[in-house]
Amino acid sequence: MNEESILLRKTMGSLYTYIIIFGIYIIYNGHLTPGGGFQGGAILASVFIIHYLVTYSKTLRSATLTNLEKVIYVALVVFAIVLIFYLNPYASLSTKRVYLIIMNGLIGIKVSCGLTVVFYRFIFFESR
Amino acid sequence: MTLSFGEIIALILFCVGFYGLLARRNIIRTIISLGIIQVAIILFFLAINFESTMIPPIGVSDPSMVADPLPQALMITAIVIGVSVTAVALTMFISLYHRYGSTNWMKVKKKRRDES
Amino acid sequence: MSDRIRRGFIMLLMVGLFFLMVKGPIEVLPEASQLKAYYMTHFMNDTGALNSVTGIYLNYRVFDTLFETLVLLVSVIGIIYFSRHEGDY
Repeated sequence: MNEESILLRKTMGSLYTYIIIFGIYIIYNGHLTPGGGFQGGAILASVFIIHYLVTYSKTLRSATLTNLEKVIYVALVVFAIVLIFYLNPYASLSTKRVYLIIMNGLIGIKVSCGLTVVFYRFIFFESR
Repeated sequence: MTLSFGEIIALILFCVGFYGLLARRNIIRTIISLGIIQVAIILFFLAINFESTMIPPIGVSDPSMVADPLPQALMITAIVIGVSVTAVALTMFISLYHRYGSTNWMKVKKKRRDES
Repeated sequence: MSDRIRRGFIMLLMVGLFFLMVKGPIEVLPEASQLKAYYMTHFMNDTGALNSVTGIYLNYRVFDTLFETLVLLVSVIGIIYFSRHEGDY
């Protein structure tokens, strides 16, 4: 199980770009079509899982992802509270649309970081 | 007032998960039962106030023809919470298994009582 | 053998619980469809979204989303904390 499969590597390696583009599309069109931050974040997290299945690399630093998740959470709370509780009666529709896009992007990055950390913890630490 | 088909399926799944929680003493099966109960609750919320002729709640349309958007927005968050609950439960189970060496609730309880 | 009797008793209990839940008195509150009508008529002018689910979880009920992401963050910290392996890289 610990040796690389050339079939998996060649097929999955060519799918990276399309999966990333599809995830970004889901996140960016979350306020127009079915989709949003949670679903796009799960799709972006699958990129890291495929990366592990292809290369069996153990070089990913999960502390970086955890810190990134904490910083993004603080940004999310500050952004939401400022716009919803202070600027909501005055903001125009285009401002609210930009707010929706930015919130969806932050939630997508945060959810993908969280699911990736969960997966890599189980792979590297708990399976020994 | 009769229940719809999806709600009856959700209640059956809830009873199956509750049986697994009560009758089985394996820790892995307890965690799987928690997952089944969570899926049942998600299905129940999505099947409330739903008819098969309804359309997705996107864009401007007649409010009586559209599926209810509020349970869908609540269940999006509940799915991610279910993933995190399962992950934390499995992590706790792994460290507990390496310490006590059993997957049975009763044996773990007995060993904990013997240790203290 | 007593284990099998216990499981059968619990299974009977669950079947009874199922019929109790199905046959119970269930009423439909009129406020539920009023809330749906309010959301479907006002969400485009209130939130600027075309997808009403996004409009609800990012504008009307933003606290739900915030604390849900907090739950995900706490669970990641809990996975690192509950693990029996020391260290974090």
